[in-house]
Amino acid sequence: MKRHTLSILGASVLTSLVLSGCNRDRGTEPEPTAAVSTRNHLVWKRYHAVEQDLSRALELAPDELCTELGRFRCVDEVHLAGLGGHDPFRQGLYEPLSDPLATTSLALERVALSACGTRVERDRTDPVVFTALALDEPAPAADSEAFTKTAQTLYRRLLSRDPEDSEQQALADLLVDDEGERLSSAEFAHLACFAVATTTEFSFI
Amino acid sequence: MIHLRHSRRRFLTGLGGALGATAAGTSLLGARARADGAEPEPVDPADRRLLFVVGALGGASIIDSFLPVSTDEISDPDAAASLNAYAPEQLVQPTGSNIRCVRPLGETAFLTSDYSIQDFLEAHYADMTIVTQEGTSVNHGVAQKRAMTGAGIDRGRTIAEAVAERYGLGLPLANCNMANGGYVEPGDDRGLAGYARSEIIASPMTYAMATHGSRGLVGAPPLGRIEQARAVREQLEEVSPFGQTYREAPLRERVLQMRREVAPQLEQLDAITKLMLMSPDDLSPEYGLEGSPLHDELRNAFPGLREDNWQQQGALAFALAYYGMTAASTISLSFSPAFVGDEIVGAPLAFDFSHSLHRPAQNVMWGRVLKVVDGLVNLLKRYDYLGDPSMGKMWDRSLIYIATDFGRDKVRPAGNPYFGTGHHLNNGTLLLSPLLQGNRVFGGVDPDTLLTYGFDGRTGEDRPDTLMREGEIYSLIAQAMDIDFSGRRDMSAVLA
Repeated sequence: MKRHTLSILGASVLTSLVLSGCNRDRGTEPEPTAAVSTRNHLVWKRYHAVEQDLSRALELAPDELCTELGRFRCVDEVHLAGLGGHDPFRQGLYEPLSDPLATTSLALERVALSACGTRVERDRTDPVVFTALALDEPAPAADSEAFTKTAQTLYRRLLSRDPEDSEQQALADLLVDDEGERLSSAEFAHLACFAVATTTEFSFI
Repeated sequence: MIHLRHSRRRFLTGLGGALGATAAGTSLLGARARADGAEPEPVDPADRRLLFVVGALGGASIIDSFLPVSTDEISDPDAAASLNAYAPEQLVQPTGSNIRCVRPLGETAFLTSDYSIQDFLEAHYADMTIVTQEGTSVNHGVAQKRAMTGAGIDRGRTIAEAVAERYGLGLPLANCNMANGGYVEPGDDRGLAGYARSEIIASPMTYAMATHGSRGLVGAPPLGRIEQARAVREQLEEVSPFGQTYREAPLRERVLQMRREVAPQLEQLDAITKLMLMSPDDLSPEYGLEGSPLHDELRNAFPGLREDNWQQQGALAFALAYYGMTAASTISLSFSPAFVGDEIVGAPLAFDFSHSLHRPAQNVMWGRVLKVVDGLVNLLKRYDYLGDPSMGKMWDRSLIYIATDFGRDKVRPAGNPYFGTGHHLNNGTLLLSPLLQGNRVFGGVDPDTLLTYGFDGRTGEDRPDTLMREGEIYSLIAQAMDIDFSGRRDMSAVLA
């Protein structure tokens, strides 16, 4: 009896998943290949974790990641609240906010853009992250080992996994501009690093 | 008075033009569908109202500002010496004003003020409404939050959240909060629309930087390249195992929604320029940024704009409202002292320095609060909403609520002008708005106890047997802002 009930339940869940998928107007989006979480328990990666993760991934000291106007620290000063921090001493904000702010995504973009740019510039003379790229040369081809290795490096360093084929294909769009002209390797590196470091996968634990 | 006016042009103007259509769609923005299944619609900018909450942190006492008692009004002369009443010559009532106040004190120890309660009353008595009140907590944090939530009368939401939900749909930053302590705490209503949750602003001076993803960063790729990378990121979100697994996670949905709808809106509005409070002289050309077009006007209204966080809060609150980004702004003092050169212009612990030196702290800190309110009112009266003359002056749709924690003790050592006070529940509240009856005091003070008493919210008649609570103040503001909720008190007598 119990087994029968579970079978019905399983079929029911499967049916509702299929139906919910059918109900979504996803246009030309690819069909999902991963199961949808029923718990959705995500933890917002806040300012200190963002700083530490970017620092580790790009091998930059925390204070080298981002500075606004050359004077103000991005993570624990200008964008502290946006990056989920609390500030008991200056603002009497004793507890971190439960939800991201309107400007959270923009704050993360600024920090990531700055940190990725710094890493690219450093790698021109002392390669650490973008070791497969000749940064002063045009970006490599999408089927090159240099591209594959760079994508893999970014995913391993920032997301602690290898990229899926579909993700590599998406990143290949950053090798060329809108007219199909090849970007420089440095531009590709900067943009690819920015794109991966600002995904929601990076933003949550 | 605001009249209903509808036009597509005004609607688009109110949303900053470029993104009007996008915002109008309000596919999400945290808006909850109405019970009838229809999408909620943004309020026409012509009908929008603006709330400014000013947190007079630490306990701003109404009997030391706009409801003072003169010693010769107290029936027992011996008691007068032991009550916090002022000598008749220390009080002033400007011609035409129905409100009186405490003059600048000659001696304020080491505290400095360049603006007085008297200056403010003379300039603004016609727009001032004093409402008596007694709170329910003498704990700073608790009392501050209750001043924002009306002690929970409206499902626990703050009055700023309520105003933002009512008028903020389609605005990128409907509810901005730069305040401190209990004034910056979110409300407790989890059913509040997402767009009405507060945007916390720690540093008004540099906040503009948070409204753009790349401008001002040296070495950032051109905007077109950034957009290209963002488009690739969207692809990554769709195909990644994480994105698929958590495609219905509310927290992730909120981030995506802000990133896809609000962030582009802020960038297209050029908020990074409009909200930039830094002087153009302080912005090196290498960053490619400009000061706000309002900068000179803001500096005139708030002379300490460059160095004083308090005045910066006032300036940013105005700019956010003027450019149609915000419906409710909350600002407040902080417990930290404030300096201009060697002068201490903000007492340590703000109004709570009254523990040590009651009258100088109250006199100087009231002046400090009112100077920013004066700047705000003057700008609101001068500027057309959204820069559109057909909208009328911003002031016509504004309400300023001077919130505070609680009052202070009513007694003092006999005859001594220098004394410290503890926290006291009994107090009163100052509001300014053309939506309220100006130049009026509702309720009164018993001169023999210095305790305020209440009034009938429907008729305005004094009710010495009644006390007004946080819920009445919240209801009053809500009613003035045309916000209804279950349990709202009728405060019609105070409305204009």
